[in-house]
Amino acid sequence: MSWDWLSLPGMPRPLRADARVFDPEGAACEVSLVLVPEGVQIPMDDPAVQEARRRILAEPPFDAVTTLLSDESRFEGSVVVARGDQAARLADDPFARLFPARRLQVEAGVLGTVPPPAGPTIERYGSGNPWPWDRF
Amino acid sequence: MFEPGATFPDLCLPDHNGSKRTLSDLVAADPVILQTYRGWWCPKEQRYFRRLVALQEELEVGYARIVSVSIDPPPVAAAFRAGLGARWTFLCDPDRTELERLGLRETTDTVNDPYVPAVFTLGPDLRVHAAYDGYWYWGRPTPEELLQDLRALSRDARDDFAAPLP
Repeated sequence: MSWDWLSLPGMPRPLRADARVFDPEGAACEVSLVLVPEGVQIPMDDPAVQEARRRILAEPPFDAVTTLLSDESRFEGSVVVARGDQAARLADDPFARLFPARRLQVEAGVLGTVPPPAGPTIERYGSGNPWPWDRF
Repeated sequence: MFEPGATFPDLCLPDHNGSKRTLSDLVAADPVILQTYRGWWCPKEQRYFRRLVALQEELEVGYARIVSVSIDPPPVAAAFRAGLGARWTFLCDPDRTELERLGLRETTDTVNDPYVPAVFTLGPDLRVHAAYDGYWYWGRPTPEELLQDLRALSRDARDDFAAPLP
């Protein structure tokens, strides 16, 4: 399974996320949640969204990252997960350069840790799948 | 040196962030350019990396991957990678465990005991498509040779490489 529905406080509706970020045994974490404002439409292939994906690959990894989708073409937001000392780096969430980010404290049993993408692919593996899910 | 058709060993090494990774997980289901390099200090590696960095903009949309392996420890590899602007995974073998298993020690450098510079193009099953011995700089593959290899590997790996038509 490459995606599942994610619902966090502040999200008006569940959105598709990389299924690997869900972990019922995941420790409590901090999240940088970026949501595209109501009424704004931005394609997943927009150069600004592409550049945010490049920055995720280039910079030190977070515990987990997923873009959020509702259909096959629009970028709806992102979730970046960090724990401990690394949570301070959420202030540099590359997706927060597109739209304002909210910081959330998420309790244990929701989000896990996912190995960082191998790189350098920034494309989605199937247009309906969130990045960085990495196989067809 | 591994010959075309051989299966490349599934390496298990820390990446540039210090997290243990396996080659098979990094490759997943894509063609890959696997590069061994001496270390950050070598001018030939610095020059060749600039070629790979120029290629990464095509790989980032072409569903192919690069993995670089050296004896550099993670903090050094991370700094080198950042300076290059590379956005792929560097594997670190400062204890030379995989170097010995692969038999790729450069015997003429007894100070650093580095990897022989080499490039392998691999299929998703780690099968070697082509092997390039980069001990002499001109033995390394040109960008065009790498692109030709990736085309052949992708043709093999993708059932729909020929566009599905009505």
